[in-house]
Amino acid sequence: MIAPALNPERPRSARVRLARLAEAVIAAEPAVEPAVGSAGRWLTFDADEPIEGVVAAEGAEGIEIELHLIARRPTGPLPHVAEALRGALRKAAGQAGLGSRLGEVSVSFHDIDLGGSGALR
Amino acid sequence: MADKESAPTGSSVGTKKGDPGEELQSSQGQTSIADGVVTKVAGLAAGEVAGVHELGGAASRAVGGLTQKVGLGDSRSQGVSVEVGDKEAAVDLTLVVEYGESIPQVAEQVRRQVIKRVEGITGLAVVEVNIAVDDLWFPGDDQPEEQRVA
Repeated sequence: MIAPALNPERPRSARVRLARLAEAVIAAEPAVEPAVGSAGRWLTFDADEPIEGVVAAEGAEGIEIELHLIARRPTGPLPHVAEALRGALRKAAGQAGLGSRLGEVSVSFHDIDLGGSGALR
Repeated sequence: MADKESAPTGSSVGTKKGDPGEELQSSQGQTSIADGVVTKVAGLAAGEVAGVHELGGAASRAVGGLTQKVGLGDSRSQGVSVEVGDKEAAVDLTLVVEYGESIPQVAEQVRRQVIKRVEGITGLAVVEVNIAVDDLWFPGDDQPEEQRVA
């Protein structure tokens, strides 16, 4: 089960709680790491703590989450990695009682790290 | 002058779920792939083909050599330019081919390899791979010239 490191004393909005869950989902997937973007475009702030690679915003159909990522030595197709992340986030949101608040989850791969030799697998 | 070959792959015709490009769209959200990802994958895929000595035109190889020496350049993206849409990608490559190899055969193998790798890793449908052969490499080209005088 994915459990984000939250300070239980601080009240948080559903938007920030979903962003924290997304952060934990990214951290649990070895094939990706968060991308911050130039001038920190892809961040969500939880008070003064940035959540890297996650943009969460209220949308027409719930809270929309954008995951901004760098692929790390992927062993399979990136769309499959994206689907796995979406599935894990939906599951974590459901377990946290936020399933009905979660809207679309878009995934963007901004770069790829193919390892030292750069050999493709 | 560069010898240029191009051919549409036709992989965007009659697409269905599971085809390249289609799995990037889902009812639960979209997956997008940046140009830099496609550039790196295409550059590495081209370099895997026997007969390809190097990527890039004369100018980009000269500039690339300098930038790589100071740790700024990436040889994997040299000689590669791409256009990436929501579901499709087009790739332009500039190559140096080893002397003695058949340029049309090397170009065809590069095209197949780039399509296989880019579609396999990114899920984008590759609709075009344009290949420009900028130069030939001869064995011994990398050796320094002997001095004619003592």
